[in-house]
Amino acid sequence: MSHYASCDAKFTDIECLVTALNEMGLTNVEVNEKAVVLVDYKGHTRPEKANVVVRRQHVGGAGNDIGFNTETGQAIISEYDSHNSTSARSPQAKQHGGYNVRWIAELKERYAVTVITKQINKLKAHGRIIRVISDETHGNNRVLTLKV
Amino acid sequence: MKIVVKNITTGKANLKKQVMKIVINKTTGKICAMANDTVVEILSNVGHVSMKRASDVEWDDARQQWIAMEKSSSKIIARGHNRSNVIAREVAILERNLL
Repeated sequence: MSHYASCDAKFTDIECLVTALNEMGLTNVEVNEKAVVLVDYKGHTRPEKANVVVRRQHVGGAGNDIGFNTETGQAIISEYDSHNSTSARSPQAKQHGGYNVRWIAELKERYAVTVITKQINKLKAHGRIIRVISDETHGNNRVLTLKV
Repeated sequence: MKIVVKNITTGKANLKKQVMKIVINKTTGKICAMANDTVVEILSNVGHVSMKRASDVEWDDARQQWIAMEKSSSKIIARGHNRSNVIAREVAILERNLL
């Protein structure tokens, strides 16, 4: 008997999250030990707090700060930024029409691959024989093939 | 008691290498794979892992062999006298369904 394992990525690994954000064109990422307040497009503080932050000037246009709470693994993105793509700094946000669910899905994909690679390297360091033998795209899926 | 399974032709311990796939849906960001200990070990660092039964492996008394039945369709997807081989075949078939 077999089981399907499924997983919804949570942004809890700061190092991997920053790598994924950099890959998505957001290279100015602020990392704070404790969660800090986010700021809106006018410079006013918002009620949400986050410890990984892309400040509004690096989000693009009249954007608000984008934040990630690595305790909960959640992304904090304003309604405006989820629809605004014209001046977005991330090429993927331009492509997907804003920092929306499609953009988050692509960030999750890149984040997951980074975490999986990191975890495989950890297992290797502990003497386990495991490697990625292919990383391919099949239609709508990215497929990592592992040999253990 | 320690049991070591040895290859009868070489006499070496049977340390069969396993190939597995991890599939990430680019539209939703959801990750799926056929469950095993290594997959769970890896994915538990990515996020919350959920499990869903994919198949049943039962002894077919009439035919005197093992059968693997897909849970969602009740279709027999593998059969044979060697249980391990039946499980290996069903995993390969179910893994293709992930794509």
